[in-house]
Amino acid sequence: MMRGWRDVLAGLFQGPGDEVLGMNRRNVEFILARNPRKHFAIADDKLLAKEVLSAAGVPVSPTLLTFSDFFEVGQIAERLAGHGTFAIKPARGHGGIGILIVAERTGDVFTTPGGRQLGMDELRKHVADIVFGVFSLDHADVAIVEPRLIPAPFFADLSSLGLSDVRIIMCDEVPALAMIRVPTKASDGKANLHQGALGLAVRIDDGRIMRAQLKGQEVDRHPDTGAPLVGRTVPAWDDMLAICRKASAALPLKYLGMDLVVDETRGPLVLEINVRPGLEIQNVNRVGLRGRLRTLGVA
Amino acid sequence: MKWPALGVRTRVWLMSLTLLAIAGTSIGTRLPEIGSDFGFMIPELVYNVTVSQSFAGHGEAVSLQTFLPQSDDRQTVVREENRSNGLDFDPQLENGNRVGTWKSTGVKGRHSVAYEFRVRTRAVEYDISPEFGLGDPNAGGETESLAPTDVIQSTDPEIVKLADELRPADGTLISYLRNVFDRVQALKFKPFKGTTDALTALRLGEASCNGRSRLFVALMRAQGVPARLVGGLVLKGGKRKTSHQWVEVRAGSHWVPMDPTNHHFAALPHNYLALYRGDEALFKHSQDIGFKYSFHVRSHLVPAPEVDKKKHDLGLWAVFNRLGIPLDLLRVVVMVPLGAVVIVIFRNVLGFSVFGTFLPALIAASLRHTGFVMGMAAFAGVIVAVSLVRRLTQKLQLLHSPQLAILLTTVIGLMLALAAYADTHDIPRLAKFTLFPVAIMSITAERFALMEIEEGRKKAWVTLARTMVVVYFCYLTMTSLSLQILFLAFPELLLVLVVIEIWLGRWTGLRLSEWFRFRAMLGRPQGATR
Repeated sequence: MMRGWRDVLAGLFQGPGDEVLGMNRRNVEFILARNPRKHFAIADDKLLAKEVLSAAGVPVSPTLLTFSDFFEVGQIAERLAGHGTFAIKPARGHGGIGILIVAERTGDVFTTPGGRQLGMDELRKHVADIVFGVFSLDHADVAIVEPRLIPAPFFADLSSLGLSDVRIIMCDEVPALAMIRVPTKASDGKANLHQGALGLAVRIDDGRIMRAQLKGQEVDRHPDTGAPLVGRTVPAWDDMLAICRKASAALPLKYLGMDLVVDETRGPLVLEINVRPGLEIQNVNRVGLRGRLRTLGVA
Repeated sequence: MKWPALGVRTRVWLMSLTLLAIAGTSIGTRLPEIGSDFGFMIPELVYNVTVSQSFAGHGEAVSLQTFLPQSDDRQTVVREENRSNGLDFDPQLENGNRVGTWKSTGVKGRHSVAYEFRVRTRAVEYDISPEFGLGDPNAGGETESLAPTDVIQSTDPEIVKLADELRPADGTLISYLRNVFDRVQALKFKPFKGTTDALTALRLGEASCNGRSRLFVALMRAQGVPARLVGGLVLKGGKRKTSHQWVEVRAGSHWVPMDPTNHHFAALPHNYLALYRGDEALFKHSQDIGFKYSFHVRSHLVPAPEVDKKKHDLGLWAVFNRLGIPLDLLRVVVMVPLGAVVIVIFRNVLGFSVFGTFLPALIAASLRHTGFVMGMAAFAGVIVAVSLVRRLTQKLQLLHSPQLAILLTTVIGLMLALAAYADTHDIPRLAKFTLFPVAIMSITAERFALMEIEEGRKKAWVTLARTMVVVYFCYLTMTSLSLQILFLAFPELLLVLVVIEIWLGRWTGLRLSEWFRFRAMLGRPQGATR
């Protein structure tokens, strides 16, 4: 009797959605159950994450400088002396907001990859905004200066507009789903699917690109370059999986979205770890995470 | 305290059952005092009536006179307030009516007086026994309600002739009433101003309410049935100048109402207010003073009177009664948690993204002063206007907190401007907009502006519209008087809300919006990369 009731309810609420992982289940069964709140700091603070990851032997992008108070912000001109190209990002930022990339420097004029030119004052304002917490919904943050990363040839081919990143969902240290986010003209150089970046489904087993999606629509060529996307294989895919396994073994967080980039000289680096990874990766792969994790025997 | 080593599921059940047990026990122990009849929780409709009179004085003595409401078996006057603005006020009982007189010697210029009262009314319907006959000596013998007057010519041959024609063969009062009612109803309606006497109404074959009523009374008196005029108001929301007259006929020991104008036979609907009995003028005043009057009627729902009587047994009612906390405030505060449940359902079950976490509940609570339409229009207007300011300051590249402070100032400025506008244009509900949560509106305006910039205008407006939908549902729930009374009577129900939240908090089904979002994967073979 009880059983029958539950089946009816389950059918009503899940039905064919049995395969798909929704926001509520992700939060309750994966984030709350696998990512203890006290360890969120590691994911929320890029500086701390880099510290933990480097200690475990996971490659990360080096930190050139940090600005953590207004005194340091005031010294920006002196502190940036000798740094030609670099990226400034908030330690507690999410989704790529607040990241400023300087591709070229002429004296006190800084040029972004998109061609926007900033003076020292504008740069100082940006760093001050970061320190003030504008991009981190917090009252204080640290601005991190890292080298500007140059994508390895495979990724440079995908897009010349910005850095493509690889998102791998790790559950209980097992890679579950993966995608590459490729910046487009429409996404303004940002690797954010909602802003119009390309999403490429990557098969976990061999790194083969299976499918491409732009703003919810399936495509097979890059919208800006016309380059074919599907069928190519990500080089050194196994290395990336190994890095992810090593990283998630070192972290007390067991449901993660790991963001990696492959730099021309440094190779694969973990850029960011996300304790609340988005669900759109399912649409890009046309694979429901819930069913996938069940098949993998993880959940 | 350390949790015992239990699974989450067990904890959820334990916690839920404990809370329900506490709530159930507490309600159960108090229930016998309150009684099992919950009919008192259904709110009642009451009317707030303001009778305004104004005149222009030229320095001589001025007197204004009107009738004040009295309680009887179908209307209860709850609260009265006289605003005589310097005139002497003198209420008197005259011939069973309450007469209010305002007097002044030597005022100049335009003056006004207002008499405001709240009245609870009910509909009545009488069954007139067929045992009552015409001219029955037991029907009461007040000569005043039988005698002819200049305008109720019950002895005039034309009236007597008609009365005899209408006299039923069975000689019962009820049949005669029917005949007279039909005959008077058949008169054409003409909205005459001034007095129409019974005979004129009959001869013209048309009349307004007072002509019909006088003809009705005259026909009654012509057959020896005591009858009298009743003057009063038909209560409809808004400002108007129309008063109304109907009739009461003596049947046994009762005065039975009849309204041949609006077709109520031995019945009155709830929205009739009687002000006087007899053939009187509603207003009497000194000559040549430019007299004006109006009635302003507002209806509201209030707790039934039994709630007042039971207050001491009714949980929070008793507490705040002692503390003197205003009921209006408390009954909204206690509903905010229910508004929060509504929001949680919208967010987690339907997948509705809105501005702010509990902003809709707080806005809905504020709307009780302004009404939904006025309040929402002002809210949306302020949000959009302030977001324009936000876009302007974007160009100044300001730091976050000063930026927000500017928006807060703009919100306050707009509120003051709206309040001033509401005051000069006499829109008291709009003036109440100043009671909205200012800081929350500033933050919402900021989010709206940022969303417009970062995620596009469409997304921002859609989110604002969704927010307004959720506010509407919060408002519906939170302003339900029955629910308010229920939660004030049984604050233990807040624990039940917590249990609902616990289960919503563990609910892992797909949100309605996700069925749409992941529709490509629903019910299809899975997997490009499987």
